[in-house]
Amino acid sequence: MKPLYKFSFAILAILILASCAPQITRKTAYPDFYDTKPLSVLIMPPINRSTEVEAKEYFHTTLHQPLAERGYYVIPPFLSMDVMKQESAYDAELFLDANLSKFGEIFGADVAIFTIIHEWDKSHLGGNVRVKVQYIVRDVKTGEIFFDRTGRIVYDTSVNAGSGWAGALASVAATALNTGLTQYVNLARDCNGYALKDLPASQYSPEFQVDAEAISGPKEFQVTFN
Amino acid sequence: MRKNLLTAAIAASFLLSSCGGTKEVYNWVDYDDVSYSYLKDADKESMQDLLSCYRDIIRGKRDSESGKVPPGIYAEYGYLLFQQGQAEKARKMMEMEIKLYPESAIFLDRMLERMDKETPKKERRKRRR
Repeated sequence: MKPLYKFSFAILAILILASCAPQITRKTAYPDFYDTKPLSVLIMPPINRSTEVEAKEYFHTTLHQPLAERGYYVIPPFLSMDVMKQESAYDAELFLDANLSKFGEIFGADVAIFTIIHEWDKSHLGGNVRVKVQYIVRDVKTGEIFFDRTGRIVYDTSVNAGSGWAGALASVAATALNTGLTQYVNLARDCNGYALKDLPASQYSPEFQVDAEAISGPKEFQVTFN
Repeated sequence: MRKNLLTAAIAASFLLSSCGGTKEVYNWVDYDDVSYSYLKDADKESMQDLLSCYRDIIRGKRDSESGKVPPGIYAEYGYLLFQQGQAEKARKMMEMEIKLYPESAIFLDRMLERMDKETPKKERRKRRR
C-alpha cells in the first residue's frame, strides 16, 4: 500500500475521533487553569490498581515529555521519585484526597498530577490489550481538582483487518506486544497523548492562553485500535 | 517488514502529535525509550545510553520550537552524574537548570545542599572500592 494512502486514512480517523467531542471550550471545561495559571507540575507516583505489577514505575517517566510539551515546568521525575521514596511518600494513594501543601513547599510545585492505572490487561491468547488510566490534576495549595479525565485504550488485534490503516496499526500493536521494551512505552505514550492533549497549555507553550476557546474533549474517552 | 512497521509507527505518532497544530516545543531525541530502558534494566549499558541521550538533547536544543533544553533535563543529567561520582559537573548542571527555569530553585537548591552533604560519603565509598 502506498504510504500516502495510509496517511489519508489516518487523518480521516483522527477527524472522526475529534468530531465526537462535545462542544464546550477548554476554558469552560477547566476554568481553574485559566484563573490560576499553574506552571510547575509534580508527577505523583502512579497509583496502580491493575494486576500488572510493573506498570507503576514505567508509567512514571512517560509523563515527563507530554507535560513539558504542554508548556509546564515538570519537576525532574527521577529526582522527585527518589526523594518521595526516601521520604516514604511513594504511595500516592495516601495523598489522593489529602493536603498537598507539603509537596508545594519541598518541590515548589503549583499542581500535582495523579495517575490511577485502573486496568492494564494483556490477554495472551487473543493478543488484546486494554489500558484504563485516570488523570487527576490538583492544586497543591487549595487541593482543588483542576482536571479529571479517564482514558481507555484498547488494542484489539484478534480481528486482524490486515489492510488499510487499521491493519497497519494492529501490526504496530502486535509488534509492541512482542517486544518487551516498547510495550509499556507505546501504551503509556498513546494513553498520555490522548488524555493530556486536552490539558490547558502553560507558560512555555505557544498555545498558552490561546487555547482557551479550543473545543475540549470528553471527560471519558476510548480509543480502539483494531 | 520491520522497517515497514517502524515507518507506519512513526507516521502514526507523527499524526497524533500533530493534533496540537504546532511542532514539538522541545527536541527530546529518543528520551522516552531510553529512560524507560534505564528504569527497567538499571545496568551499565542503559545508564550510558541515558547519559549520552541527555548530551544529545542538550546539543540538539536548537532543533525545536523553543530552542531550549526541556524542563528537567539538566537536573536529571546532573543527578545521574552525581550518582557516578562526578559531583562537580553535577552541580554545574543543576545550576544550569535553575538558570533556565528559575521555578526549579525551591527544589534544586535543597537537592544541591543534600548533594554537598553526601559528597564526602560518596568519595569514601569510592576509595574503599
